[in-house]
Amino acid sequence: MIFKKIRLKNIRSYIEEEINFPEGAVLLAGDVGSGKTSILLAIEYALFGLQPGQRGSSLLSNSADYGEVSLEIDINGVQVIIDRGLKRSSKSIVQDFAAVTVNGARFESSVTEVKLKILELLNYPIDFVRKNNLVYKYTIYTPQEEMKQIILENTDVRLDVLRHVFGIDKYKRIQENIQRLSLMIREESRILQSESALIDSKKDELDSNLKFIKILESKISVKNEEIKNLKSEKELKEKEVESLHKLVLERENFKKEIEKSSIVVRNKQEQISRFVKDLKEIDETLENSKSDTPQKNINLLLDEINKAKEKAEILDRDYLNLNSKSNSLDMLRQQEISKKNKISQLEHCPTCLQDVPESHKHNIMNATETSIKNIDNNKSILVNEMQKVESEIKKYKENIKILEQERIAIEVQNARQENIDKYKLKKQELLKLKESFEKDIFLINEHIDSLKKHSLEYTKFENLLKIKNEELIKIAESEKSREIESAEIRKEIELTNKEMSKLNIEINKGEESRNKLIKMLDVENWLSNNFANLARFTEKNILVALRKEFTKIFNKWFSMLTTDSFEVYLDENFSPVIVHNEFELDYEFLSGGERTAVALAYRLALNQLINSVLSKIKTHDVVILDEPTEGFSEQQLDKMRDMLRELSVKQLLIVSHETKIEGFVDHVIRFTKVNGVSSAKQEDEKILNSINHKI
Amino acid sequence: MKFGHLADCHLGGWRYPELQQLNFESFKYALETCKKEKVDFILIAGDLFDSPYPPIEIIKDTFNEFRKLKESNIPVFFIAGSHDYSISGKSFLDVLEKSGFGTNVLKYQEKNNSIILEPTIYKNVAIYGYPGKKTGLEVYDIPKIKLQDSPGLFKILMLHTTMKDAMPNLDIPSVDRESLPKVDYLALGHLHLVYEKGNAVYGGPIYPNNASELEDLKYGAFYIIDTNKEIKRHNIKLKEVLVLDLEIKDSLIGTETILEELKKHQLKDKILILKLKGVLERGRITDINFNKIEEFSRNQGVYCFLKNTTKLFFPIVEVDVTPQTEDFEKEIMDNFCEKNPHEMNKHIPVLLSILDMDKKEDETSRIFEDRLFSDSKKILFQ
Repeated sequence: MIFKKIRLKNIRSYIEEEINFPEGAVLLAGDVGSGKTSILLAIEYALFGLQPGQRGSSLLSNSADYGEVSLEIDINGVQVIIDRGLKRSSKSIVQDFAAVTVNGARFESSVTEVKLKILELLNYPIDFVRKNNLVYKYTIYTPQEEMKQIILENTDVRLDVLRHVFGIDKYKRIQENIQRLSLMIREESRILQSESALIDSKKDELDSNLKFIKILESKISVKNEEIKNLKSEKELKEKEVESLHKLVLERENFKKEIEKSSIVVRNKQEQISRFVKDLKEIDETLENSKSDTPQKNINLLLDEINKAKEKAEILDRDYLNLNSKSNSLDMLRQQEISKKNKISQLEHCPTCLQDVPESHKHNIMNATETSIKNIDNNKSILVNEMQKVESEIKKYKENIKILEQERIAIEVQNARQENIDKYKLKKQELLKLKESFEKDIFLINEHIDSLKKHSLEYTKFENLLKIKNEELIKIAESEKSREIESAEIRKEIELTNKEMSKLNIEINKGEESRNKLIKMLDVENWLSNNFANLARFTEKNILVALRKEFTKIFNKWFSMLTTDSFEVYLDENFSPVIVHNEFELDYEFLSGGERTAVALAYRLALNQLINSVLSKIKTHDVVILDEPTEGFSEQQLDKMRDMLRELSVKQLLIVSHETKIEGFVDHVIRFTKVNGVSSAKQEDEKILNSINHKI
Repeated sequence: MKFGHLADCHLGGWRYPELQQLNFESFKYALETCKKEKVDFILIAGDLFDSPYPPIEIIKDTFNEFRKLKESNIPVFFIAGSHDYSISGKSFLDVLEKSGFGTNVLKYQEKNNSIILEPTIYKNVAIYGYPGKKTGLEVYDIPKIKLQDSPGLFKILMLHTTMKDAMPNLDIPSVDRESLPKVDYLALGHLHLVYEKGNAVYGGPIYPNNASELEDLKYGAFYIIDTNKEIKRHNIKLKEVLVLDLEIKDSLIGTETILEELKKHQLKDKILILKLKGVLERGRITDINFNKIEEFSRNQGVYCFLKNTTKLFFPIVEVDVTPQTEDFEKEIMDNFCEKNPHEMNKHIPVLLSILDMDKKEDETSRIFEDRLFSDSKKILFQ
């Protein structure tokens, strides 16, 4: 890459400026604060945009709201123009736009996309897209104030940065990941270890189970033979029992028949005895019926009774009339007495309210007395009459009672006669039945005797059956117990088989685990030994090779820039070690110029090394040195000429206020600042030649 | 008559501030002694300064000392040495002379391929001098020296060079004493050693000029010559030097080993020179915590701490490659695989790219490890 041209608008102290960069050593000359470093910052901004932590205010002019940078570069013949803009917003300054034009084709996109595109064009590691671009910083441009910082940086930080720049940091990462991986494999192998650890004991268990099953199988065949024999024995016995049982059942039938017949006999005997009893009663009844008197005609008697009853009813009705008359007389008499009492007490007439004379009273009372006497006489006559009627009624009622008794006696007599006839018929029937029953009893008894005889004969089978049954039970019990034993053995075989298949699965799984474990341990062993060693070995050797080469180049540049007899080398942390007469010298014991020389030599060596390692990056051709001679003695300044000659790059931009440097370069761009505004002027080559000539 | 003979002061030579100070203190001590001894004058036989342009602080202090001498009426006669010599002739010695604090006795004429030295006369002494030059170039001039005669005076020749008989076994350009003109006292400078041969004496160094000298000489010296009596060497023992020469094989325990050793010694006010040697079987040089060691020493009151690790080595590098190409990484790996053959080695390139994996920002450690394990498993257990 070569810088061709930069255009600035409102960048730092520039309002509008265009600067062409020729090839060769170009000095950006001018007083302190004239705007030289602004050009370098603008170049960096154009290439990569604002760096992490960099503010837009460090670039945009304080008096402007908008600024832009346009950088033309040549990347191995490819013409590239990068345009970037900065805009002041209410709160901050932001990157406004970014565009890259490659051989005339413009690509405008986000800041990140454009940066990515430029990294691709420069062949820089893509991972710098979001980071501070250290390759650029260490190979092309290190701001002056950061030059010594590289040396004084914390060793870990510097080593990390260098690891990153050289791409060795991946080995640190890889080694950490190897440890992680190894740990995880070991963890997993522990599980497999426990799975495979029991294989041998499981195999032993399986063998003993197999032996046990053989024993059980031989046992079960013995049992089966026994069961078979017992079954056939049982079958025979059952047949015997069955035939015996039939015979026993036959005897039972005999017994039942006897019993039934005996019951019939008993029933018949009871019947006969009932017949005898009935016959006796009939005879007695018949005997009693012989003494009865001759009977009145029942119809006449009934007629006589009816007549008496009619007469009695008439008399009752008469008596009732008499009684009613008597009661009327009693009421009348009562009224008269009451009248008599009222008159005796009466003083005034209730109608005319006049006084009732005593005489009148007396007359009335006499008349009342007479009436009462008449009533009493009539009453007495009536009572006599009623007594006569009453006695008449009594006489008739007694007569009716006698006649009724007579009628009942006649009716009883008639019924008894009917019964005697019936008894006679019944007696005959009973006698016949009795005779027939007695015959039956005789026949049945004969039958019973015959049955008893048979039953007695069959008694022997019962005992036999009992014996045979007991024998059968014993055989069945034996068979059952054999079958139980056999079932138990079968169950045991089944369980053992299950156990064995479980063991087989476990053994297979264990074998699988063991194989896996062997492979895993092998891999882990390789990983944590060979592979980790390889990573360490590679990292170490890369570092050693880099350090060796770095030291070589570093020493070359440093010896070129100093006057004293120093030696420099890099320790394992890439820290520069300055040796003076074999003893290490602290950096701080060096003079200002020597310190600058260390930083510059380190920077140039790093540049050269990175360019050689990352040979595909396309920024080999350019180096920017920002005030590289700070604190240099005259002698050191003289040595700069050799150094610049040695530094064979196509384009070298040097920012310096040191006028002596002007004599060492091919071109000078002079910077001035008037009224706070910077401007640049390309120096005529003729003037340069004359300066060089003088020097 | 008495005079002091100093040489090789190398003021400003030490980079260690303490030793620079000690160097200057030694110089002061020598001047003070000369004053006490009431010398008539002082000779400085080259290398007063360590460089033609010494640091300003050194110039300031040196001039102050010369001022004191002038006030004591003790004149100083000097020549330039190989360090403070300047081809252009411009050096701070000129400033010193122009200020009236001393006299550069180099006065000569070249005639017929001879260098004829002219004397600087002080009282009854004629002082001649010829300076040292860079890389011993004066050796080729000195045989040409002839002295302009100064009859009756005590003749002193000041040279800053290497005398052949001082280092007979060393094959470096040197001056044969026989080639020198006869004088009453030959005031030499340049070599930092004890050399007293008759009237020829190397006067310095005032103080060892580097760590190796410090180790060998331990202290500096100067001479006071009483022409009637003797040539007397005055050693300047201001601080003791303790040299610890230790062999380190394991740098991981190196710090402790060194500290244990240091504990055995009295460090107070001493200059400690720690020299480490050996081939490291374990660890790296940077694993030794020199800061801790220095801090311990400082706490023990050590005056100055110097270390030398140039004899401490890494084991020999296994692969000899130069990082000129991007393939040198592969070269290193191939070399390893060749020495450590294994069936799994074929997976190395893929595995390296898999294991070059970082935890993502939004990823938990568990998930990251699972991803790592799962990706690696595909290769490792295929």
